[in-house]
Amino acid sequence: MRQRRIWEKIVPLALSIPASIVVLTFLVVVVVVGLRGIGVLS
Amino acid sequence: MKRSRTYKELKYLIRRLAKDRVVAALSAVSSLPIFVLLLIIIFITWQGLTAFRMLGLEMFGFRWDAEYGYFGATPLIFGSITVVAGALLIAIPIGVLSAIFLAEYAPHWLRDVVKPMVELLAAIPSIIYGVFALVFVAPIIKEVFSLPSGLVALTSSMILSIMTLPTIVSISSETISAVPKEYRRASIALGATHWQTVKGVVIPTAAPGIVASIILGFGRAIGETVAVALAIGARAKVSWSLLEPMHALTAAIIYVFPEAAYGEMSWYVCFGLGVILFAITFTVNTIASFILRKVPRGVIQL
Repeated sequence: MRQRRIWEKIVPLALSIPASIVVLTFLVVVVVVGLRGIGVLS
Repeated sequence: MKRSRTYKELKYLIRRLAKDRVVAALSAVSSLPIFVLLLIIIFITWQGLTAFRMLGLEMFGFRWDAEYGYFGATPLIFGSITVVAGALLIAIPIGVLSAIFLAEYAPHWLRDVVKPMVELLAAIPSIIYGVFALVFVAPIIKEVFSLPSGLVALTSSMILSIMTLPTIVSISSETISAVPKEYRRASIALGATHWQTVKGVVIPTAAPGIVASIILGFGRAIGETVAVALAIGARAKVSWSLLEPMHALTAAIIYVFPEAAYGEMSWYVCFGLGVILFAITFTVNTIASFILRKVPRGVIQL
């Protein structure tokens, strides 16, 4: 029972990692391309 | 009395004829895409088969050097499949796990923030991804693996994985969300926890949809041209290492075709490569439609 409860807490945290990778990828693509576009990054 | 009956019959006939004409016109319009598709297939196959007829088995040789008249497509097929396989290796775990998180665990506000981001990732033009690969991914790959150039198969795979992620995430999360609530309630009523329900009921039910999303992602990746052409390094060779430059079918077409004159061998070879590419995507899409047929009716509809 205790082990089940631990799993229930671990799984959402573990699954949030790939979701944050997706968000991070989006932000990196937008920021890099955007900053290059306006000439901040060279 | 008789006259009015004839008039009614005539009116009915005219209406029926008009209805039939509308149906006929709509059928003609709706069959137009099929007609265009058939024309494209016939044209590409006709031009492409000329290359196969002229080159024979040489078309599947191991040397590709269009400038010197070597048109072996094996390194290109190998490059395309390797790069796409690499992309899917990255995109499948991230995409499917993100989809499970978004559909099952993420609070509504987070879902409302992340989903538009994923959709925007799909809307970014491929040339932007190509530029992103050139200015951001390639230098990192070069530094990390101490390579002479960052334009290697891994760079293409990474970019393709970013491009296939939206397809996998959005379709998978839709299919997972579409699993009926009764299934979950029944599982929870039997004493299963949320994760046990997701693992034992939701994912197996949504599995055909998830597999279909992966195959659609594959379809997008194998047909991608500009981003791959910019990042792959354009060196046609059969290699098992993702840290070496490769060449792909789409990239070869985009490099060779603008310089090919009508009637030249390279002209026909480009169409021949198109035929090979078409055969690959056609096979993959057929497999996808077979898998989608296995989805129980009324459970998940894409």
